[in-house]
This record gives sequence, C-alpha cells and structure tokens, in this order.
Amino acid sequence: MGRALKYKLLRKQSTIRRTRAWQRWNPIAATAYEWASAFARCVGSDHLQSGAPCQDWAMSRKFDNGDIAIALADGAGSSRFSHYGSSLTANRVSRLISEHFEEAFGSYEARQVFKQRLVSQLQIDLYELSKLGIDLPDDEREKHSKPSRADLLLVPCELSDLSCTVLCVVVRGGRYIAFHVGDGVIGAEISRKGRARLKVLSKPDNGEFANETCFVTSRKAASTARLITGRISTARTLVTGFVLMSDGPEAALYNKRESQLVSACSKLLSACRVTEQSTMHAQLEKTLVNVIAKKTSDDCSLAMMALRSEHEK
Amino acid sequence: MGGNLLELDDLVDNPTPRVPVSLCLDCSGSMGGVPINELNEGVATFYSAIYGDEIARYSAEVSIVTFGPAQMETDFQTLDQNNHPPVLAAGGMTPMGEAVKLSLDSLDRRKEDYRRNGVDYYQPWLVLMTDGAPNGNAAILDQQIERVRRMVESEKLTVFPIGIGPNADMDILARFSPRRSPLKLKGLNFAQFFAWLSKSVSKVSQSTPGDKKPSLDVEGLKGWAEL
Repeated sequence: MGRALKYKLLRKQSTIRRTRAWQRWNPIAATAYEWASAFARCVGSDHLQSGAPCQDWAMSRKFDNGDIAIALADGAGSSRFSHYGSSLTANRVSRLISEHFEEAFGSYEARQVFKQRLVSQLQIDLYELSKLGIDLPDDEREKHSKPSRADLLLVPCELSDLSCTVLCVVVRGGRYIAFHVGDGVIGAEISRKGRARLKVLSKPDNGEFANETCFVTSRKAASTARLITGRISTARTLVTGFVLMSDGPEAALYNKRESQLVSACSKLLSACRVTEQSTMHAQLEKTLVNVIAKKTSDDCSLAMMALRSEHEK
Repeated sequence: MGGNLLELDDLVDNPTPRVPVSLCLDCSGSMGGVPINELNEGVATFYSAIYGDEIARYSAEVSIVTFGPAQMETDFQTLDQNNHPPVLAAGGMTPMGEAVKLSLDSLDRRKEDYRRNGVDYYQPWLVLMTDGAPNGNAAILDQQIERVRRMVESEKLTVFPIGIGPNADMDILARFSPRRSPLKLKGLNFAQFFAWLSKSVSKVSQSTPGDKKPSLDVEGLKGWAEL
C-alpha cells in the first residue's frame, strides 16, 4: 500500500473513532434538541411587610418558529409601577430577540447596533405604556391617589415609574443569545466529556455600591447591556442548561467572592429536565418561598431551561 | 406535588453588604469635662442602637478617628465583632485636616478589602464633628476639603459636618459639604444625634437596587439639630 493511501486510511479511521467517541459523550448530539423550561417568582419579606406587590416577573415560552426563550425582569424598588414594567419587558424582550435573532450573529459593530436597537425598542415600549396608561386595580389607585376606573380607565405615569432590569436567553436550534441589563445573573451548564460544570455567562452589574444598578430605562442601558451569543454544541462541549436569576436568589445561588454559581443550580436544572412542567413550576415556587427566600428580604425570581436527552423525553 | 428542590445547606453564605461609617470626632482640649462625657454617651448609644438592629449589626462597619492628635481609635469593624465603643478622652489641638485624611485613607483601604473579598458595600458615610476651628496643617486641611468635596460631588461619599457649641467654625464645616449645609448640635444633644444616625444607617443597610436614596429624616433632625 502506498504511503499516501495508508495515511489517508489512518486519518479516516481516527476520524471515525473521534466521531463515535463524541457521540458517546454527547448521546443527544445527533438528535434535535428538546428543552424543558420552568420559572417561578415570589414576593420578598420587605414587600410582604409593606404590602407592595412582587416587582419581579419571570416567564418561558416557545415560539411558533421553534425558538425557546426564558426571560426575567426585576422592577426598581422605588418605582411605583415597576411590576408592570417588569411584566412588559420580560415578555417583549424574548419576542424581540426571536424576531431579530440573526442580527446578533455578525461583526462587532452589528452586535452593538443590535444591542442598541433592542434597548431602544424596550424603552419605546415602556414609554408607550407610560403614556397610554395602566388599568390599575382599585387598591393601587387608592394607594397612589389616582382617579377611579369610572373616571379614568387607564392611568398614565412617568417612564421612570416602570424601571426594571432584564435577563433573557433565546435558543434557536443549535445557537443561543443571552441578553442582560442590570443585576441578577445569567448562567449556563456546560457538559464536557460527560461532566457538567456551571459557567457564568453574565455577572450582576451593580456599579460600585450594593444598591445601585442600571435599568432598561436608564441612559446608560445600551452601553452597559451585555449580549452573549454561542453554539449549543461544539466539538468538545454541549450546553445542557441555562438559568436566570434576579438579585434576590443571587444572594443564595451566586458566590460573590468567587463569581461562580453554586452547584444547587445544577440540581434545579436536573429536576427541570425530568419533571413534568406544571409540577416543576410548583416545586420551584415552593423552593423559592421555603428555602431561597430565607437568604434575602428581596423579591425572588428564577427561570431556567434544561436540555433533555432521548430517554428523558 | 413534592417537597423542596433544595435545602438551606445547598445555598451559599455571601457576606452581608457593608455600610462603612467613619466618625471623625473633635476630642481637643476644649471638649474636656461635660462635652466629652456627653460625646462618649452618644457614641455608646450609637453602638447600642446599631447592635440592636438585626441587619445593621452585621452590615454597619464603624471606625472612629479622633483629633487632637489625629489618631485611629477603632478601625472599621462590624459591631457583632466588637460592640464596645472606645472611651474617648479630651486633650490636644484641633488637627482636623490630618484626622479627615486618616479617615479617608482608612476608608479607601477598607473598600479595597471589600473588593478583594467580593463583599458588596453601600456608599460610605463620614460624620465630622468639631467644637472649634482647625489649627493643624493648613495645606493638608485644604487638600482634604477638596478630596471630600470631589467624593461627595461624584456620589462616592455622604458627609455630615456637625458643629458643637458656640465656637464651632461652621464656615470650615460648610467647605466640606457642597450639597448640604452643616448642622449645629442643640446643646450637647449627642445621644439624640447618634440615635438618629443609627436609624439612618439601618435604613441604608436594608436598601436594594432601585430604592430611592435614603433621604434625611428631617423630623428626626429637629430632635438634635438647630435648624
């Protein structure tokens, strides 16, 4: 056998061996990805005492085009109607990212434009809500000395009344986009050679002081926003989960000194992977209220998605 | 529906965010007698009130610098580590600039410690109290006035300049504070001042991102300040 042919055969054999090994480490790599998702939120003890509503909002959704998204927003404590701001923002950000998904994968300049446009659109949406007004329930109208529903159905407010942070991950096929303004943490679980480890995709943005952060409504929102894109699988790694948390659970699930997520996040993702969705929602909420909320007086919210293997479907 | 997905042991114990409070106190000769006794009682009231607050006990870190001479009585520490205030004695001159320098230098070192150890912190406070006029190094005084003003204007520091008695140099105190006029203590009402200060510190230690910056409790001020 000639040397060139022998070399060609050896190369082909080693490629076959590598491919089989890779599939062994990543048994679901050859199949379509299926994601399980869950989210929950609970009001913090501070707001329970003051009677204020939970200002966190969390959600997950699957779009008609197959995109899967999780999103979370945390309303500013001093903003009167930030619970409406966080609800709108969490819902809108996932849709906007899904609609403009490909624009995030490009040059550095293209990514900056994508970030700027995303923040601008969220600010426009919040501004429009502030001008159009909110159909406040009676107790909030009374608390803020607003007219009754009979006199004024939709109550306008200031943009700053709707201030909130935002965290979002959208997955399309083999790629993902993560977007973050403000505090809270975006994490990923990454599997390599069958071993999973947690990675922080986006850290909290607290400025110098503990009670400072940037909000979607802030002037600096676009410049401080983080945009992370990536592939679900590479030759060596596989993303097996994403987790979003507001600054409430951050106190319990994020080691600030090491800037790392604690292994409890993998426990949650494992549960999410194998548990029926409505049961998972209920258990996650219970865990927030009974365990995680013990570490903080702030509102808490979590959203996650976990990759399911063939036998877990 | 099943139990909790996690236990408390699964969670991390992050350090409590800190509120560094530096008390820079005039203990010159003129404070001898009743004033220094009242000041000591006031500081003891402050310690007691902070220690009695569940959150502030682990959050507020207090340092005490006195002048003259300018010296560090207690470096920054939480009151769960040490809730016994030092006993201050009167004597010496009034090197205010040197004392403020000592306070701010120790504050910078403390913030560096926080950053290195991943400890969150709130905007620091500087409480400056004097019953007279400074007579230390004029150049150092000017430098420290400029330093404090810069920090206040860039929102890196909150300063409370307080005058004690009829001879306090309120003009010098005003130079330290570009945003807030200095206040004069009503008589020797240290206890009420420090009680008010402890409540203000507690409020800060419980604030979260997006909360309004804790504003001065003006009603409470009337209890100890000549407004």
